Amino acid sequence: MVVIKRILDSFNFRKQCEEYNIDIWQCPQFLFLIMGMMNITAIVATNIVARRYMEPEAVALIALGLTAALFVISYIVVASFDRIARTSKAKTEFISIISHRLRSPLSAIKWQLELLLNQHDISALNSESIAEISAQNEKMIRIVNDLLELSQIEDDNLILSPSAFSLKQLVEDVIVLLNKNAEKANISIFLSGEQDMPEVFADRIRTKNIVFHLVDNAIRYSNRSGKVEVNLQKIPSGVKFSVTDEGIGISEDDFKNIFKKFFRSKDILHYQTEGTGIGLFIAKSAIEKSGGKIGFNSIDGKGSTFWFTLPVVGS
Amino acid sequence: MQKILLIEDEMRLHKMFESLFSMEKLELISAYDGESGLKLAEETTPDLILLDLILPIKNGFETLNALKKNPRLANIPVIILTNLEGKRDKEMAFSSGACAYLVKANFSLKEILAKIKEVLREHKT
Repeated sequence: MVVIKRILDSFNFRKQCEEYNIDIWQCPQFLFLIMGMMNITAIVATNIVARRYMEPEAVALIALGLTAALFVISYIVVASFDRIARTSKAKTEFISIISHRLRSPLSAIKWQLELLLNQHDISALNSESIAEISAQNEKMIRIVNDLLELSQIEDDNLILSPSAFSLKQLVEDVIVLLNKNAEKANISIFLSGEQDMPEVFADRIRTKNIVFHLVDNAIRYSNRSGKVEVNLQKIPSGVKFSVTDEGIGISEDDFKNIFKKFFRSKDILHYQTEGTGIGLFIAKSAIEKSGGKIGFNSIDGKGSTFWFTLPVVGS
Repeated sequence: MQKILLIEDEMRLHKMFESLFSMEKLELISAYDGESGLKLAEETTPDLILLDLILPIKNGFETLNALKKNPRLANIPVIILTNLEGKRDKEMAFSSGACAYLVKANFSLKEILAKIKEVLREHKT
């Protein structure tokens, strides 16, 4: 019974593809079947053609040899594909488990620092140090969250919790959070745009992370001077956010890779080393899943503008 | 004084919530695994339950289902407080009757306290 079930299972392509989380056209077992059918067709055709010119025994031998060779080759190809698919899945799961594990100590540190900061008898000096530790801890939490989101996207498991909120308010909050970093780098952030903005409908926490990431990038790639301009405007399909810097820009060779996973421009490594290369990949997935668009324009050496759109409530 | 039952296996967090609640006139009742959490819920009928999902003996989902099956406890609001964030975890928690799902790493104590007060207010009326 077990053997029969295993054989039946090996023909259940849909189940196997779901397990790997890949398209049926990328599924090793399905490809094996297709290759097998193509092999048979090729052999039958060879057989028909060859029979006209040769002895039947020789034809049979050639056909048999061809079948065996093709079968072995397709088996090797499919088996290695299968191994890669498994490894990739294991990697995604590993990232997910590690990130979840890391969150426990990080959240305990976060709360303990918060309690410490709220004590009355704390000196100004200590309070500043604790705030700094807390900021670094938040940075770690963001990295872990990014990794977790990455594994969710790869597993097609990204959950959005959309609600109505003011994007303007959110952008203002983020600017307050980042102003200190900007001042340190001798950069001023300006917010421009229409006063009266409709509420957007999206995942608030994720949108906040994306705005944070884009403005933070603008500051960090500004090369230590100049201004960063944040703009909000109404457009027919909703609301458009954009952030423009006067920084190092992006070279045209890198254009197609900007939103790709783990991509970091080589030039950028000369200016700063922070960043994991997954922020923009996550931003693209989340914005597109929310029904918006994301993109950028850039002139090498002159600066970049990154923008995204989000639908408004009721659209 | 309103009573909050915290079902959470990490001792350290109980201490943190104790000092948080002491300033807010909320009483903390501590349980360190799902089963003793259920028992304490029976004995003390708290006003709200904070429930972790990864717990010894009975995990968070089993505990939540048992709470909602018990007619005496089914009306107590349950806030899930965990670091798990899978699609299925969230869906399962809400379909089992949790009223909020907070990811520990993404919320400050202040924000958690605000949520607790909000839920307590909603359940009073």
